[in-house]
Amino acid sequence: MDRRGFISSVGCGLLSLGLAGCGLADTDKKDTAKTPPASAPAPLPSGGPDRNKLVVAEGTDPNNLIEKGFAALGGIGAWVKKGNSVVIKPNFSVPRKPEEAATTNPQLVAALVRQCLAAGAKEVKVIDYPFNSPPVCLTNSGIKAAVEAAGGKAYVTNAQSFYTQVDAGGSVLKTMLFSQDVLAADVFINFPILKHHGITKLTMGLKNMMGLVWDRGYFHRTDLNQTIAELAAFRKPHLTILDATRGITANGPGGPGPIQEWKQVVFGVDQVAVDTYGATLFGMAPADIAYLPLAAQLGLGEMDLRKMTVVKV
Amino acid sequence: MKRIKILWLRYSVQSASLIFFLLLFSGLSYPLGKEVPLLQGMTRLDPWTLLNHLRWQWNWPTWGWLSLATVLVSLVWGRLFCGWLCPLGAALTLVDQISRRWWKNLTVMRRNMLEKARTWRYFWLLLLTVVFLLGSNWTYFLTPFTLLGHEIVRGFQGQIPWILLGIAAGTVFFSRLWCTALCPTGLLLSVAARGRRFGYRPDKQCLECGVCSRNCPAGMAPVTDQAVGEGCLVCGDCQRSCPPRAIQWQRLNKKAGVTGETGDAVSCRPPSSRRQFIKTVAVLAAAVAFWQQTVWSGPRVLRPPGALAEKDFTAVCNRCGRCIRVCPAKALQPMPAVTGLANFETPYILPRKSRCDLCLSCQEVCPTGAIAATTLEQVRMGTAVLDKPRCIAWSEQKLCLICAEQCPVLAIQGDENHRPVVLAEQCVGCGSCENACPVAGDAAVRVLPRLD
Repeated sequence: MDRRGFISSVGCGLLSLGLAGCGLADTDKKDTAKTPPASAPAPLPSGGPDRNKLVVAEGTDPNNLIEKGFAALGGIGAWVKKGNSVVIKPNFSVPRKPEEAATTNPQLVAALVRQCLAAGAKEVKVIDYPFNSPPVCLTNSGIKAAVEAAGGKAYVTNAQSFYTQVDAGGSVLKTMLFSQDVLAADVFINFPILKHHGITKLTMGLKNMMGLVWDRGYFHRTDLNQTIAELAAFRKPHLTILDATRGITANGPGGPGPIQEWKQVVFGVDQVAVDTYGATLFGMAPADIAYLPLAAQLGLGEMDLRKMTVVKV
Repeated sequence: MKRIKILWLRYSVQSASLIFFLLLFSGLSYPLGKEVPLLQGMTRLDPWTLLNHLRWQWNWPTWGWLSLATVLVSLVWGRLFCGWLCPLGAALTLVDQISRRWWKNLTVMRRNMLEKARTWRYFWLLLLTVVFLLGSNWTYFLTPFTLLGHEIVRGFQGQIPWILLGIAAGTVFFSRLWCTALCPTGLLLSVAARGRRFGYRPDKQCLECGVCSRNCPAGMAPVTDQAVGEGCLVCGDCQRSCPPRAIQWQRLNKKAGVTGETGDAVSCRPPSSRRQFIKTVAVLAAAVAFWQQTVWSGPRVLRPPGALAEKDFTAVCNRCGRCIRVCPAKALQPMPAVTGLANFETPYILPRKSRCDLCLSCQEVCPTGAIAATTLEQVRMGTAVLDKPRCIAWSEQKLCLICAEQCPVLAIQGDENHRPVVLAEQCVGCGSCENACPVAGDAAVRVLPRLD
């Protein structure tokens, strides 16, 4: 082979490599475009549970709270069918222990996992994308031990490979990398804790959803409250359960902070109503939690609790 | 039969030691379990661990007897530790046994190299000791528990353990040259073994056939009726290979002499000739020159929580990599070679890549005390400094405050307009704020390493 021939063949080789790359990038884009904007939750059979109902279970025993809560809702069978894949999103974003009241109570989560499995769920995944490293958050929160003992899987979605590019459909939140686990789940249950938050005043259900997004910095860079509301519109949980047994009332979300006990667990399909109830319980005007009115404006739920049926058990 | 049984007993002990060591490292993760005390105990069998402690702390540690036990065993029975217990020795035994069977044509080269090494190995020990006393821990780095651990960590991190591969390759060509002439622990125990009470020695049936010297992996085979050299690894290969079965494990009579003490030049005696004097001076000069390379210089970096003052830290850290292995956040990373010999392979944190979770596991696994045990309140890695013009809360009135949200010690607070303010006296320097800052490129809040 002469020199010119060699150079041109190398050139062709490089060109073909480059083109191969282009092709890959293109397919990626097509895949993204194909992802449906999942603005509504996947439909649940059997007519669906009552949207206008909030169940408030009162007490301290985790198993009992979950059991009587679902009993008042008409049974977990309204959500979880045989063979379903369930994703639960608690809040264990900070490296605190259960007694520090900054993470969802692991025994409550474990009780829910057992309920789901008893209802015939094929698998129950418990996920979060915490601030700190997976071993520290999974261990300190007690979530891993409790969930695994109950038969579920607990893990942390701290790599971009857990996320997929979606069209979020908001005015500020247009596209984002969102949790694949949630997109693929038959049933998605949001399981936040009620606690103080230094920026948004409170964190409950809507704020907890940020743990399903890869780039949270985007929320902070643009408009935090608006993006929280628009995220809630993208993928509504089938059910929101608010752990209001106890939570920190200052220095949130990380703590440590003063702990208040409310001894309640709130169940609702309407995520805005659940958060509204939580804010009221915390002693704040729901309208002061900026993302709640924004979410209500987007038609995501009811902020007037008088229009809801609140059942205390 | 008895000899074969002893051979398999040794192989069993060696395999168990190597596997045990590997398992300890694979289990070294948050939350810490009983791997830590077991690994610490094993490491403390090495007398260099004790020397390192004494050099740095000037007090007698409660575990000091572990190191002393190894020395005492060597004083009586020779290098049993090296030949039977050392996990790196076990790995090299495997390599050596395989390569001896596959490449028999290298036998003469192996023997010649090992015999040459006998003349210079104590110069090397002198160099290591001087470097160590001057205040560099590269000597301790070469000891088996540190070196093998370091290479295992490298393997777990998905990198090539090239030092171990290099030593293994050297073992193929030169048998146990590493154990005999290069390993600081091996050399130290060789010195201790000079006065040992028991060892292999041929009796009058010796034919001087030289089979043992071809089979000895350490180049320490006996000559006529003298005992084997003090570098003997107590493997018994000479005994098993001896055609007239002349070599026995026996009580050594001082007067009978030991191979290597008569003919060879042995450097730990006072220099007896001009040539040895010149060699000694050259070694000392080389040691000082090397040590100067390891004197701390370079950029300030964020060190693990509880790390000693920077100069002490680089002098005491032995680069074993255990803190790097255990760090749940993968925040601790080894420093690259371009930062100089003083910093190379020491752990540091780049907060923009990963933050310290303040679990303090690194303090528990550190075998040298370079990362001292502290309470969380005592941790001061650095201090966060806010660059207000870059901060979007200050310059663009955004409701951001992600730095305050993620600060684990409440050292960043929002003012009345939700703009972050650093409370420097509360900051531990974990890097959470710098890590989380959503500003593109360099963060608007950065942790500056403490100055000491």
